[in-house]
Amino acid sequence: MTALIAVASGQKKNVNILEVQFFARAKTVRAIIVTKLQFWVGAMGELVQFRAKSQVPTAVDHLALRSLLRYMSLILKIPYKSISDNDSQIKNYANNKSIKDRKLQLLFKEYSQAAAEALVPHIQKLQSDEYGLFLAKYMFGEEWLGQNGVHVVDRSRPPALNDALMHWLEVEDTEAVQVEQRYRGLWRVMRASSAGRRQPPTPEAELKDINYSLLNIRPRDLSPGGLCEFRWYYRGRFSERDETRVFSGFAVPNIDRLEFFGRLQNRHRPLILMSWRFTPNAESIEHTEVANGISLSLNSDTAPVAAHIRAFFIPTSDQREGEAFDQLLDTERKRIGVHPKEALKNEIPPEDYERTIAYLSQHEPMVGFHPSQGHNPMHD
Amino acid sequence: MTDSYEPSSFREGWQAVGLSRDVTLNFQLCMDDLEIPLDVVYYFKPIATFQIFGLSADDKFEDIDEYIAEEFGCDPDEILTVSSERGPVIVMSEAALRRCGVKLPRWPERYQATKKTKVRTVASLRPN
Repeated sequence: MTALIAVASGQKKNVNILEVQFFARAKTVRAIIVTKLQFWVGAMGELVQFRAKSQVPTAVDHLALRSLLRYMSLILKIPYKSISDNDSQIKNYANNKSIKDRKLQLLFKEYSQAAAEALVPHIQKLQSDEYGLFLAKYMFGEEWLGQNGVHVVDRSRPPALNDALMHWLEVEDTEAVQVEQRYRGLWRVMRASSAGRRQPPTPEAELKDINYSLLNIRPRDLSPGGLCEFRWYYRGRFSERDETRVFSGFAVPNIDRLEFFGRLQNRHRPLILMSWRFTPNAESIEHTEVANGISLSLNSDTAPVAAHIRAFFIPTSDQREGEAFDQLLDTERKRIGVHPKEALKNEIPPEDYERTIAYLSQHEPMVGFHPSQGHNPMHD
Repeated sequence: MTDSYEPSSFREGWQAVGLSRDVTLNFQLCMDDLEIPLDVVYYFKPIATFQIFGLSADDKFEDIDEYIAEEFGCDPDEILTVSSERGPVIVMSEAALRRCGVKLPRWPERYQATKKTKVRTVASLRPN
C-alpha cells in the first residue's frame, strides 16, 4: 500500500502531458458526457512536479477518487457498500455533496484505501479500459498496478512507429479492428525446414521436416497505436531451447493480404516479412482458424528463407489473460523447432494434415542468395 | 433515461424529518459532516418507496439522485442520502421540494400528530 500512502500524502508525480477524461453525469440527462481536461505541466520532455507536497488531498485528488468510485459502481459493478459500511456517507462523497473540510481528508484516506482493496479482484478489467486504467494509475500509481499484474502503457507519448506505419500504409481503423477480432491470439506456424542448406532449391525435393514456430498477435490495447503488434518465436534445427529467436513487428491489413512486417530482436536486426491471404469482411467477427501464406524470414544462420507457410490458430488463446495466457505461451514456446513431418499430425487437426503437407511441399524453401545459373551478358 | 420510473411515487409520501426520531438522529450525525444550512426544515422519503423499474437495489440506491433531479428539475446538491433503521432515505429541504412543485403536509399538521405545539427547526433538534 506504499503507492496509496504516497498519493494520500501528495507525493510528487513526474509527467509531461496529463490528459484526464472525466465522465460526468448531466443533471437532467442521464447520459455520459466526456469532459476533457488537459494539464500542460512540462515542455520538451522536461520532468516537472505535478502535485503539491501538501499532506492535504487536492481538489483534483478528490475529483479523481469520486470518479473512480463512480466508475467502480457503474462500470465494474462494485457497489458503494462493498467499499464502506456507511453507504450513505460514501454516496454523498461520490456525488460531491458539500462535506466539511475536516471530514473530507478522513474520507479520502478511508475510501482510497478501501477502493484499492475492492478493485484488486477486478483489476484485470482495467487492462482493456484506458479511462479506468488512468484513474487507478492516478490514485494508486504504476507501481501498485504493476504489483497487481496490470501493464501500464504511457499513451501520452508522441505518436509511435505503429501510428506512423498505419498512416503511411493508409490503414483504416476499422480494418485494424477487424484484424484484431479475427486474428488476435497464438498461432502455430508451419513451413518446410530449410535444413540449413545454401544450395539452389530443387523442385523435386521431398518434404521431410517441418519448422514449427509460434506467432503471437497481440491485442491493440497493449501498445500505443492502431495496429496489432506481433511476436514471432522461432528456433532453428540446431538451436538449443534457450536460443529462441523473437521477431517483432506489426500486422498490417493490405486489401486482400495480411502482412507482417518486423525485425529480429537483437543487435543485428534484419527485416522479415510474412504475407497471409486475408478476406476483408466487416460483417464477419468469427476468429480465423487457418491461414496460408508465404514468408521471407531467417534461418538459423540468419540467412533469408523464402517459404510457404500454413498457420493454425490455437483455440481460446485470444480469450486468455494474465497468468493463464502466459502459461499457454510458455507451453507452446517449448514445442517450437524442427520436427519430422509425421509429428505434424499431433499439432494440427487431422483433416488438415494432407492438405498442409501438400501446400508446404509445393516449393522447397529458398535459402540465401545464389548466383544466376545461366549466361550473364554483363560479364562478356 | 433508459429505465422507467413512476413519477407519482417520487412526489408522494414525503414526511417531515421531525416525525422520525431515527432519521432525525442520523440526520443530525450527517449534519456534523455536511455543510448544511441551519434553520431549514427538511423532509425525508425512504429510497425503497421510489418506484424505478429494471434497477437492482444497489443501482437504485446509487442512481436515485439522478432520477429525482430529473423528475423535480432540481440541483443534485439539494439531494442527500441518510441511513436510518428503516433503510436509506432521501432528505431534501422543504424549500427545494416546494420549488419543485411537491405537495407537502402542512407544517402544523405534522406536529399535531405528535402533540407538539411548538414548531422546531432541524437545528433546534441537535443535541447540546
